[in-house]
Amino acid sequence: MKINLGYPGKLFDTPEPPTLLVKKIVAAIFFVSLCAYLVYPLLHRWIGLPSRIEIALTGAVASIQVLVGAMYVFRRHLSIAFAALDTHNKCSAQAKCIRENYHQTVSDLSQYNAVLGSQLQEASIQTETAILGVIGRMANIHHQTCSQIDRIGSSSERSMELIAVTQDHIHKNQQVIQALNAFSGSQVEQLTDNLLRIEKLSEGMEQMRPMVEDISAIADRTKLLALNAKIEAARAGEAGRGFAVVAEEVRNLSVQTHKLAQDIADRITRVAGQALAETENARQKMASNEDAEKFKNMAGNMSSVEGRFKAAATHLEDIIKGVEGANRVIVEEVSIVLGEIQFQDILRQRLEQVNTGLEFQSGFAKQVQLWLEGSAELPATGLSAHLDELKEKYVMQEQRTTHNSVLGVHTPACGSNNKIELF
Amino acid sequence: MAKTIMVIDDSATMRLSLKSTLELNGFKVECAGDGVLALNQLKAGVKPDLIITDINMPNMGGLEFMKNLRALPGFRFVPVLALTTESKQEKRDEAKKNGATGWLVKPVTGPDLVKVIKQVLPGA
Repeated sequence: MKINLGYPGKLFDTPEPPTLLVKKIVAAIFFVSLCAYLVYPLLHRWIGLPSRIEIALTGAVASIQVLVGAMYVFRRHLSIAFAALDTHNKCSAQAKCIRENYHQTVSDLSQYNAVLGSQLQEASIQTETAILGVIGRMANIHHQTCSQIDRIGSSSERSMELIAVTQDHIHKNQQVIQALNAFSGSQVEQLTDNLLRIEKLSEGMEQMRPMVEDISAIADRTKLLALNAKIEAARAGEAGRGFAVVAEEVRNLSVQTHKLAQDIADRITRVAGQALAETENARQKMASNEDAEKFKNMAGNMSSVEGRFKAAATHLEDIIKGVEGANRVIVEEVSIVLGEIQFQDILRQRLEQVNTGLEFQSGFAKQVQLWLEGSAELPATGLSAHLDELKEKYVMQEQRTTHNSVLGVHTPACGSNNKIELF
Repeated sequence: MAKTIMVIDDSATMRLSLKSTLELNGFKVECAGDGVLALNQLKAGVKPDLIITDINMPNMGGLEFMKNLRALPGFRFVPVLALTTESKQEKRDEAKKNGATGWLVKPVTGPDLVKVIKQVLPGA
């Protein structure tokens, strides 16, 4: 809505003195008098007017001359009188114009202030609605973050438990590996002992070999003895027949003994060879120490896994702690923002004060209008006095500071500056 | 058991802001728009452990509410915190005279408010 606050033309123009008009009138009268003087003898000669008319005309001309003379003498006063009359007429018109414009202005001002007030109120309501939405969302964020912190806390506890359990398992596995390593060591020792015993047995068996050879030699001699006995039996003839049978049996026995001795010797050789081969094989394996190496590798791998697991667990713990810390910061920030949002209430109160001022301004303008129209008294409270009243109604120190800074007045301190005070 | 706090303020923003902050800190919250409504709630059986009230409110302001509250049986020693934009020392002194426990100037952040409440309400 466009409101015209201007006024048409100049309100208080000073009228120019009408000297030119007076001069024109004097000149006109002078001209008329001159004409009358010229025309009068002609009229008298041509028409022959009666003497009464001549006297009347002469009187009229004389009156006009006197009037002209008087106007000339009092031309300044006449000029002022005309100017005053003109000013009066103009002022009346201007006063009428002012009243009409002021009436329009007051009407517009009320509407203007009503619009501004309504806009402020609407803005306040809109801010409040928006802020209520923001608070709702903030509360939701706060709630979600708190839940997240709880979940992270729970997850962290579970992770720590898992890490502890896994570390315990790794520790136990290492103990098992150590036990197996020790067992492997004892097995090696036992094997070494067994090998020594086998070697001794083998040596024992090798020591049996001469005995077998002795048996074989005895068998050979027995065989030779049996042959000699058989020869002697043949010499003895019939009497040595029985002896020959015995000699034959002895020979058979010696042959069998020889075979048996040979068989034992072969077997001793074979068994001793096998024992030596197995012993050698076992020695070589012992020398390579493969199992112990495997166990050592396993233990090493296990330690490496434990190291990596510990590093991963530490990293995970750091991440969890970081997220938890960040979430706590978010919760705190949201909590602070929820408090800061209270500015809307402060803004609302300040806008209400402005609205009160606008309403007063409208009422004041109406009262002034009525006073100008002569239908009411001049308002008892002026704008200046109302400013003081407004100042008294302020609740915030900031309102007073703003007020005083506009008026160029120092703002005194308001007592306790503590934002929080417990009695 | 969660402590109950009554919030009295004519501003919906303040009521919701305080309610959210306090509930998130584990308190149970009851709200009222002015002193008259708050007294009605108290007479109807609401038993808050702490009251947070604004000072400048329509119908009944915080100072008058405190006077009426102390006259109610069972509410003589309930702690009352004034939370307001009011900065005049006379009002602060009057609140103290009427039985207020503390005076807080808006805006007050959540952590600060909770800190004060824990001071006023041991075990909260």
